[in-house]
This record gives sequence, C-alpha cells and structure tokens, in this order.
Amino acid sequence: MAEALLTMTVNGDAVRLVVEPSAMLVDVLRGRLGLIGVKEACGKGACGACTVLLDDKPVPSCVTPAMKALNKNVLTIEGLGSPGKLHPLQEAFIDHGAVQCGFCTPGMILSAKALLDERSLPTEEEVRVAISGNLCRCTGYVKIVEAILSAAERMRS
Amino acid sequence: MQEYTIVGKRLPLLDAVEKTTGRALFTVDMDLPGMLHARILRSPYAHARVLHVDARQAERLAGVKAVLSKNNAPRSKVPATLGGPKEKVAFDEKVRYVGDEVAAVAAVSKDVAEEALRLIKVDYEVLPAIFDPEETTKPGSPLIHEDKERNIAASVETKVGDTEAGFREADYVFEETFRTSSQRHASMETHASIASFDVSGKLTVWSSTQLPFHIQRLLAEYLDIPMSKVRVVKPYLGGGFGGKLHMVVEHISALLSRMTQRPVRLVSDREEEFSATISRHASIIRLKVGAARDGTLTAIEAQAIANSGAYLSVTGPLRLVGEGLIRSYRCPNLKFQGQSVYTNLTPAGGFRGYGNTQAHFAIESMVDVIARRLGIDPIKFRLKNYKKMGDVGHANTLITSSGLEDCLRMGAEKVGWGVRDERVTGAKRRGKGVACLIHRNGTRLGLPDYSAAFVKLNADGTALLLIGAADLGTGCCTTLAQIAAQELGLNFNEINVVAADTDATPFDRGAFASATVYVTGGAVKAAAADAKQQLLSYVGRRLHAAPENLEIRNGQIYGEGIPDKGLTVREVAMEASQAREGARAFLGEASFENPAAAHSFGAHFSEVEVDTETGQVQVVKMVAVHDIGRAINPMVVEGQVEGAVQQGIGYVLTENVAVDQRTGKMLNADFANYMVLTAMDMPRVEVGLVEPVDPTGPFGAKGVGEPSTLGVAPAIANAIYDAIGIRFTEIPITPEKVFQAMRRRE
Repeated sequence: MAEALLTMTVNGDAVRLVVEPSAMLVDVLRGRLGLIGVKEACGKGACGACTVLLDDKPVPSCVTPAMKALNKNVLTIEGLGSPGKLHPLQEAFIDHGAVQCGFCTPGMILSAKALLDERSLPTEEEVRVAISGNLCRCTGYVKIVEAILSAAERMRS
Repeated sequence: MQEYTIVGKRLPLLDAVEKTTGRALFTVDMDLPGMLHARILRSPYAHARVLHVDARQAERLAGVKAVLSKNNAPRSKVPATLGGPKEKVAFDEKVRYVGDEVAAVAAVSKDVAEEALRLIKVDYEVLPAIFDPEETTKPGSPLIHEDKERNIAASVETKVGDTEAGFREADYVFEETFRTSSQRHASMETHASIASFDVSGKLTVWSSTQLPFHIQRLLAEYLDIPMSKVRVVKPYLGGGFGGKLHMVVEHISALLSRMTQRPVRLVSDREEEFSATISRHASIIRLKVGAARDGTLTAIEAQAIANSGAYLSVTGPLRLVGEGLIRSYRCPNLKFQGQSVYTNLTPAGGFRGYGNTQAHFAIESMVDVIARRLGIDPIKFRLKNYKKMGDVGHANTLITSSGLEDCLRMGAEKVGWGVRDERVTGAKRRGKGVACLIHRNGTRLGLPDYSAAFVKLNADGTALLLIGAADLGTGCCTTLAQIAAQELGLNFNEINVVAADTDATPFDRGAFASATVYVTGGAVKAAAADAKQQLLSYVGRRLHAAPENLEIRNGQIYGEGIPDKGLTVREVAMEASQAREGARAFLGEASFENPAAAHSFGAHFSEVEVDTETGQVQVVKMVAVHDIGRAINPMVVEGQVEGAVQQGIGYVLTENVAVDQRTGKMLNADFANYMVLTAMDMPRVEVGLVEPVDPTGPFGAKGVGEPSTLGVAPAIANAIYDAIGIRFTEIPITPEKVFQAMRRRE
C-alpha cells in the first residue's frame, strides 16, 4: 500500500505522520490523533459537522484529503479553547443556550470563528450565510445566531 | 405564581462546556481495546426471498472475524419496543424493503468489513413489491408477512355517540382527505452501538438510545440471557427525536460480539440512517366533520391509513392519530377507524409527536376550512370549540390545566392577527395562519409509565442525582438537576448528575412522549424530598427541634433551634459522615408513576410569503406560544420550540422523501438532496410561554418536546391558504405543487 509523509501543525503542535495518500483529514484527526471533537455525520461534505480550519479557512474534513493539510495549520475545536479557558464563542454558545445535543457544535463554532476572523462585527445575514453549511437538527439556529453575534460584541470590547 | 430560586431560571446546560470544547464523548467517539468494526449487507430489492448466502470468501478475507447471516443468526424474533409486536427475524429468509439486513461482518477495520461485504454472494428470488398504502390491502397484493392478511398490521376503532345522527343535525358537512409524508429524523449522530461481552459472559452495550432500560430488557430476551447480565449505557447522544426508540443496531453488534468475544462497533452511515432505520408514518387521513351554523361541531368521523413500511415496530402512533383527530375539539359524536399497513418501504416508528403530528396537520387544516366557510374568525372558532380544563382530552384522560386561551391571545398579538402586510407587491402574496395543539405527557393507561431516582447527599454537602433519564440533547439532565436543587434547598452548582447506565442508575421510562420532566421530574422531586427529610430529621434529633420546623435554602438550614452563627448542609453532612456514634448517610429514593398524563397546549402562528410566479413559499415569521405549565428552564424550553419549528417547516415545505416507484429505493438518502433547513432558511421565531401551573407536574411543569412540533405544519398550510386562496391537503407543499396549483386555477 502506498504511503505518504504528512507534516502539519495541529492545534499548535507539529505533527509528523505516515498516512495513506487517499486518507481523509477527518480520519487522521479522529483516528490517529484522537481529536474526537471533529465529528463526522455524513461523509459527503454536506452537513458541516466535521468542519475544521485549514490555514484559517473552514473545510469539511470528511472530503478533504489529509495530504491537503501538508505543511499547513489545522485548528480543531480542541485547539480553540479549553474547559478552563474558553474562547468567547464557546462562552457565548454556553450562555445563550446555543447547544443542545452538541454534535454539530464543534463545526458550527469553527465556521463562526472563521467568519469573525474576517469580519469582527458581522451582520445577522452574514452569520446565517457563514453557518449555512453547518446543519443542526436541534436548535433551529435561533440561539446559535444570537450567540455568534454576542461573541462578536464580546471579542470587540 | 410562586417564584423559586432555581426552578424557572435560564441556566446553561450542565454539559455545555464538554460539548463546546469537543470533549463530550458520543458512542461514535468511543474506542475500546481490540474493538472490531461491523458493517451490514443490505437488500437491493424491496421484496425478495433470500435463497442462499455464501459467505465463505468473505470469511477467508484477512481481518474478518465474523459473518452473520441467515445461515447462523438466531431464528427467534427480535422483541419490539414500547408495546410493539415481535415480528422481525434479524437476517430473515425474506427481505421486505430496500435496506433490509441480509448479512453483517465484523472485522478489524471498517474498510475490511466493507470489502468483505462485497465478497458475500447472495441468491435472491425477487418477489413483487408494493409501496402504495391503499393498494397494499387490496386482494391480490403481494403479502409482506405471510401471517398478516391483506397486509394489515394493526387496526384501531373508536366510537362515541352516534355520528350519523350528528351529521343529520349539522347545517354543514365538510369532507377532506389529507396526505402526509414519511419525514426522516435526520439526527446529526446516526444510530450507533458498541457491544462487549466480558469473560464472565456479561454484556455491556454503549448505545445512542432513547430507552436504555427497555433496550436492556429487549437484549436480554433476544440473546436469552438474564437481564442482570446486560448493562446498557447511554453516552452523549446526538439527537433522537423518536428514531432512537427502536432497537436498530444494538442486537446486531451484540450478536457479533458474542461470536467474536471482542467489542464490536456498529454505526449506521448517513445513507443507512435515511433509508434503513426508522421514518415517520406517512398517512392518508379522511375527515368528515358536521357543524352547525354557529360553529358548534356535531360529528367527527375520521379514517386513517398509517404506512408502517416493512415492519410495524409500534402501534402507538396509529392510536395517537385517532386521538388527535377526534378528541382535540369538543364534539359529542365521534368515530375513528385506523389501519397500520405494511408496504415494502423503510419501517416507520416513533417520531416527535408520535402520530399526533399527522393528526394535527389534518384537523387544524380542516378547522380552518370550516371556520372560513362559516365566516367565523379561526381564532374565535378555536376558542369556542377547543377542549378546555376539566374536559376529557386525549385517551380518556382528564385535562388538569390549560392555558390555551392565553396562548391564542398572546400569539395573535405577536403575529399581528388580522393585519395584512401591505408592503408586498407584484407576484408576492402574504398570509397568516394559526393552529392549536394539544398533547398528553406520557402514555399512562397505554403502557407502564414510571421512573425512579436516587439522590445521594455527599459528605461535603453537595448532592449526586442518579437517574436513568436519556438526555438526547434536550437538556433534561440540567432541568432535572434544577428540580433536585430546588427541592433540596441546595445551590444549582452543588448538584451533579450521573445518568443513563442501567447498572448504576434506577429505572427510567426513557425519553419519549414528552414526559421526562413530568414523570422523571416527579421522581427526582420525590427522591430529593426524601433525602432532605432524612437530613432534617438528623438535624432535628441533634437540636431537639421538630424537622417540620426546619427548612433549607441555598445550602443553609433555617428554623427552630438553629444557632445564631447558622448551620449549613455541608456542616451537617460532614458531621453525619464522621460522627463516632450515630453516623449515617442520606440517600433519597423514589419510584414515581405518571400521575395524570397532563395535557400540554399551545398555539402556533405563521406568516408566509408566496411567490405566485415560482411557487416558492417563504416563512417570514413563526410565533409559537406554549402552555407547558411552569417552565423549569425557559432557555431550554425555547430551544426545544425553536428546533421544533425547524423540523416542522421541513415537514410541511421541504423534507420530501423521494422513492423510486419501480424499485422502492429512497432516492435522496443524503443531506445534499434531503432538504433539512439551514440557518439561511429559518424565519424569525418568537416563542411565548404562558405558565398556568399544572397541579400534577413537578413545580407545576409539563412537557414541551413533542407538543412544539404539532402546530407548525397546519399553521403554515393555513397561512398559504390565506395568502393565495389555495388549500393544500398534501405535504410537503413543494414549490412544484404550489406552482401547478396556481396554473390549474388559472
């Protein structure tokens, strides 16, 4: 079986792995690195649960070949904040009740982060567009949108 | 209404930090040493005899540890959940829908398991299949289960008074036929199970189930081992909505684990989740309603066909269709005839609303037809005719509280009832619609309906709540902890919850029928009261005070004989645990039966904009006002309602299930083609709560999960009628249907 050497930075740590060239990023992150915050819910890049940031851009890791991350920066939810030191987006999701089952939450927060990195005070419409690739079956998105707008305010002040 | 310090507060979920930081461990995230991965070979045919399965090549593939098929699977029937029949043999001699199980492989990796599936050779004798729920019961249709004549899976008949006389009395008789779809749950986490037998023969199953205790019993029966040898644990669960009431994967992973003596993981992929787990019952509902000129109803006759798909799974939804149709409005003469029928389609089962959702689309659309025809405002019509407190509601259950009138008033105000939006010009038309809703909490008188709880006071003055409740993401563990904290008199952050492990927690009914807060909440409140009583009796003995003259607030004990410097629960609990003499633990417990199956009420309002050129319907605004008694956590309640609106709009407008009428295969079994609403599709949602305290609920609370789905579809269909004057009786109301209906009218 063919092998490829993958070097990348994941949540700030240098990672060096031998992978199958056809391996998808989600499988490397979950299966090899134990980053179970990266969720897989459709395997076709259609629901956003597996979203990670690749050089600050959101990508569906279930249809992104791992080798696309070669020499790049990968951020997963585990690298955004920790239980003792939450990112403002995580705080806002908690305070606003934007989390129900939590399965879409990591991908949702990372899509929101990519938006806020580009636009510090987005409009509600921009928020809705930014997370439109992330499906949620529990919340109706109402509190998610509120949380993201509120996090933007928090991060600015 | 009495105010409380913790009940009624908008507290964040206890597990929100784990979920937002990616630490929450779902079943799909678990890995055990030596764990095998299972995949299922599914039937490509809707109806066929499985003549021969040759798995020899698959078994020889390196890494394959077991293959399960009709050659070696138990011939006993799989016990069904929640009163359903035992009818399915796993890996049967016959397959009954595209996706039915033919074989399963456990291998060292998912890839190897999938490769092995391709090596299994199956000879089928293809049989004629039937998909139409009306055709299926006609003579000559292929029989799906040989012992079930005319493919009738179950029948329900209810009769009250004399409907013929009622129709004779009526000034008007209305007749309409409604059709609803086999919506999919589309939970973000698919069905998942890891089964592991240990050396003593004890089975542990980690499962994405809504019913840990029922699954424990079903597994023990199916595997023919004692219940004490089965432990079911529910880790974090990524949404259920009724789809995870059924044993879909657990028994297969357990069989494979028994064969291999290794842990076996079985997780549905998204296509399987859509096409080979469970769906909502598609239904055909015929309604005939007699009304007097003043709007008084004189007779309701309803007939329903619920398309059960290949297996019946449960009969409850059919009964609830009937209750919703004939017992939501006051009327003396009633008749319901319902049939669940088999077809060669994905099995139907529990889905949020459990039959009442289908009923609500029909009856609330029908009431709109009647009110408009009689020239009565739809709200006034409902105020006059809807069931009220003291009436007998659904399933012969007395209505113990109702805030419906306030719901209608508040909702009408929020949506601007009677005010037409003049801003819209050109091809766009706007309209408003309303629908009422009624739903019981629990299944009392239908199925055993109780839960239990333990409350352990720790030596440091905190409390541990041990419950079997299955939190699917609904936040019920948080809500139940609020009930415990309030009753104990502790602070919220002094409560910890251990939930859903059949070995560690007491029996729980499971998460269905909108009864976790109402029934399990009752158990939690009683167990907390028991623990508190033990603690106060201990204090009373020490201080020579009567326990009834003592109370606890915010972890502090007040009342007779308490020293001036105060006394905390922490001090007492520590002392009781360390005393040289008289040391003791405080362990509260309760088993609590559903007291009255209280009814939750609500009124949904929608405003829509219809593009008459394209047929596109845009929901501009949804107003959902609910009477759920006291909201234990209003933020959690709003979240339930907002999510229900997303599912409800999908049900009525976008979530079309496309089935190939030749093969019976679901054509859109993925998120790219099955249209779940995204953040861009959602309208503005306003949630209102009226809180008439229910005398039978814990702190006056009732359930919200299922009721919140009921009014969305009819409120939107009624708003579409208001906008363009066309009545849609079949959902989903896709742009194509609207467009064609507009064309036909021209």
